Amino acid sequence: MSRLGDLLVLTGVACAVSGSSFVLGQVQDVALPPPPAVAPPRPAEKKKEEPAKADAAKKQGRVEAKPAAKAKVAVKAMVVQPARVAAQPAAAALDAQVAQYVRQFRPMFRAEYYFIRNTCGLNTDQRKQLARLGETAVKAAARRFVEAQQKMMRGGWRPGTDYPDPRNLVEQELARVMSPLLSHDQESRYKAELEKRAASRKQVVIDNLVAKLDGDLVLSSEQRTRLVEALSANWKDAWGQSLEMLMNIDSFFPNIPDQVVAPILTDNQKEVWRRIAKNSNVFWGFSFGGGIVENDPLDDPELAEAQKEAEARDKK
Amino acid sequence: MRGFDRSCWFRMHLAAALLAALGSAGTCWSQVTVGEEEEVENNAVLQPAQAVFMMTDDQFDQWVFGGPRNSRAGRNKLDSLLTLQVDDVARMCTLSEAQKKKLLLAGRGDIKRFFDQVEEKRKKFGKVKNDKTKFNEIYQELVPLQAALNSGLFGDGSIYSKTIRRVLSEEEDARYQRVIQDKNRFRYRAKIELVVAQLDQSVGLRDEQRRKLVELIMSETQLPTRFGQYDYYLVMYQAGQVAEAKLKPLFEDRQWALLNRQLNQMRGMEQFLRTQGLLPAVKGVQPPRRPAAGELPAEVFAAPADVEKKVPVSESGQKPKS
Repeated sequence: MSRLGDLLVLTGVACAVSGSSFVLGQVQDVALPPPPAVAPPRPAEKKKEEPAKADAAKKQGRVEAKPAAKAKVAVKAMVVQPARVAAQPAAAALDAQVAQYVRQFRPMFRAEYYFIRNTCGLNTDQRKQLARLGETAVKAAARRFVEAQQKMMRGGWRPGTDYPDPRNLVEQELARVMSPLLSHDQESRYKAELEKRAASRKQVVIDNLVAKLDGDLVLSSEQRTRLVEALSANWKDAWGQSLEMLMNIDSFFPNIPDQVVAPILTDNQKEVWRRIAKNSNVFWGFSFGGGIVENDPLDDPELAEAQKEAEARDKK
Repeated sequence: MRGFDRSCWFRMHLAAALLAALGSAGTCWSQVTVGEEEEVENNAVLQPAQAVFMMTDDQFDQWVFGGPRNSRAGRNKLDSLLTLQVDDVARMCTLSEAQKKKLLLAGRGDIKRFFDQVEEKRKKFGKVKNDKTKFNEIYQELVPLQAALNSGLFGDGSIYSKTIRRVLSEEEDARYQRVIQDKNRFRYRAKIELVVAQLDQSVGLRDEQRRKLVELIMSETQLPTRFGQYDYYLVMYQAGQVAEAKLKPLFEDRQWALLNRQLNQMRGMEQFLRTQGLLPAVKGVQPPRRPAAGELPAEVFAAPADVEKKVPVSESGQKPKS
């Protein structure tokens, strides 16, 4: 019996030693690819969450933890530790990615800055404030974009999900913070221009889609008109996600449903329409606007100042 | 004795267990090492293969016909386009079956001429597809074929366009030309709107400015002779030809400074656009030699960074296979 006990002890030792070496081998093997990038909650959300948890604990009378409970917490902490260690580089990777996108999003804000400046006739002080707000908006937009992108890469994308439009994100973030900066009259002018710009952008996309179809299907003038109306009536933002797509429209055409286009076509045209490759899952990236130069001497000095301030803050 | 037996048993088991453990650890470690060694070996095997320059016939087709299309798909597309062109003429003028056949025959002649050129280049390609230096030359020779395919084979100078003038009466031909003009005007306006939308993304235009700019370019510039992959440059060049006295008042000072810099970059592109056949040739001027891709004005590649062809990324974050 005792021999059996010894045998069991030794088998256990053998398993432990061989198991650890096996794990070591696996770790060395697995350690090659970088850790998966997991988007951590935003710092602001974390801060909110922790006091909320503490409040809930207080209400439930769990403030004074018993020794047994403390021991449990200690064990949990040990288990959680590796996950935290992995989350830290993931958070750092996310921040690095956001920082990269900030550089790419800045030119979008720059265009938005001139749009607001020209629409509202901003004075020097307003321009300074707008430039500063822009730096904050660009960061927030870049973070939202990266988070959405990572969510999609982790399998969060479903057919029909639209890729986030970086320009819209910048516009939304600006709209959230800009209201106090503008007078009532300036704000109403800005909103009216925003609507007109969206309508104009939609028209550009529709006209270019119809022009492309005209090249492929040899439409009559009446068919072009009807097609413009049909696309307008059934419009989906995803059809015109970026101007690059329109520039390369011979290779990539949006996934417009048959029932929108086919009723307008002749039989021969329908046959060709069915053969046109349609892409629904392609993200075209985004453009930075023609001729944009970083630290452009032609730019308003307020933009460069705000950027310097923001970069100095980041370094601290 | 019993105590000795027990300790002996224990030691023997301990020794056996440690040996087994070390053995398995060695195996695990050696798995990793062997894996690395195999990888190194594989790389060593792959390396000479990477040094061989080899292009496939599929790649030739992709360059000529675009994207995933091959020669057969390209021919199908052209055949369908010809049928639709003839349908378009028949919509306006009453065509007899004989007239339709004539037009189809003429169009097929253009298609055949095109594919003869493709086959000629394919033979040349077959000889140089392993030679990186010569291959660059053949690629440049393919550019006019791509351009011809993109802008259509049945335009001015084609057998089809000559035949249509013979088939239609003078009045019918005038009506047909108006239809073509309408088409081109629609397409040109769409391209101008697109370029203005791009400018908007850099200088932030108001709605009124956008509209006026589109109308000004539309009314002050010539319709292009054909469309294609250089439409952006064409519209920007044409916009740069509009008198400053008409353009400048549309913009704020800062906007104008930013916009004018872009237009200046495009103003030097006339020769390139003419040699591409996008602008009508100037009478009495010897047409310049078609430049190779490496000889294009620097602005062609440098200026509009935003219209460079990007590799699209699927929504799942992966590059599409095509």
